[in-house]
Amino acid sequence: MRNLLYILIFLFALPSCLKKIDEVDEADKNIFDPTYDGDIWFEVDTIYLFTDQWNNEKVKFNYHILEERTPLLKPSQINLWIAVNDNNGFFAPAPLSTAGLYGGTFTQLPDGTTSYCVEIGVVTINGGDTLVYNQFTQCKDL
Amino acid sequence: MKLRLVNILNLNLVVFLIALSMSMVGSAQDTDKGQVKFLVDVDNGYFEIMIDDTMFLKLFKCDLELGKHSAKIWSPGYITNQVDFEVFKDSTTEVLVNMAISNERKQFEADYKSYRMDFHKSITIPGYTTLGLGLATTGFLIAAYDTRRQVYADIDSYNYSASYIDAVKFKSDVLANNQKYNRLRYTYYTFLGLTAASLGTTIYTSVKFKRNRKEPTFNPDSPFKTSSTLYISPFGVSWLINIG
Repeated sequence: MRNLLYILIFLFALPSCLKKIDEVDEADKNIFDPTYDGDIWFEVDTIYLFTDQWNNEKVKFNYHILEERTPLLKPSQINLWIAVNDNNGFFAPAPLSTAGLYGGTFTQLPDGTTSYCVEIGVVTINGGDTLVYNQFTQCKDL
Repeated sequence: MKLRLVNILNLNLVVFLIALSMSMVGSAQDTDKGQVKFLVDVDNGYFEIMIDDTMFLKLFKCDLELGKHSAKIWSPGYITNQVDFEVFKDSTTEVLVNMAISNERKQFEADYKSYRMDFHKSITIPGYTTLGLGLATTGFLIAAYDTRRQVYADIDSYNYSASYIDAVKFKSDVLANNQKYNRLRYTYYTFLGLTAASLGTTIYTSVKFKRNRKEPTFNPDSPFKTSSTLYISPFGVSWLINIG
């Protein structure tokens, strides 16, 4: 009778271990995933005006990729596509810093506005085609 | 010959004549005697023979005085048969005894068959069904756990992916294996329910069967039991007197 009880406990206790795997629903937060469903994965840190060595006024942008959105396996750089205020975009690599973060700096000529919207996407070359995906935009004032 | 009274009514007074057994076997060859051999057609391999209502045999052959004799043969489950035969000097008389199955045995066989059928219906079939379902449930359980482990491994691989191709591949694996895992665990739940139901049914039918059915037994008494007989067996000879 005791053995029967053990069997019944075994049979009915185990289903609690076979629950739905909630982590599956969270498996869409890798920025290399074209079906990425997370929030914006980068942050524009600063935007400011400066005068370069040729006495030209420019706007400088500093940005970084949020650490929690980078893959656990760290590549040496992540290739990005960047566009400011819906102008033509350009490709820029975000190298891995010694601190383990990805980020970078770029400059643009001022367009007379005080607010700049930076759009960044991930770039990959797949089968000869260049794909830009998971674009997000963040606006910031000077 | 020395008789010893062991007890009162319903007790047998038995005197073993070990010495007599030796002397009888020896003397049978010396005097005018012949041999008789009984070929008894029974399927249980056991029979008892009462010769001339005085000599009880469990052997298939013995030496007898010359002349006509009568023997009653009994075997459990058979009707006692009586045969007459004659013993001739220096020869063996073979007596073929055909035995008819008794009505009690026929009834017992029918009852036992019915009992076994009920036994199979109440215990064997539900028991094996429960066992089969239990094994299948265990199989689905193991498969579900294995797939669950694979899903977690795929999620890890996905989180480690640092390229478009890897991310797409592992995301696909996560979804496919998760779908398989869900299918297996639902199947496991279903079979677990069936196993529990089958186990309950088995317990119920077993208890009911043990309460309501008793295994038939068939132990008919020998009709020669109450006689005063000379008992001859392969192990010796004895004289049995039943009192009461």
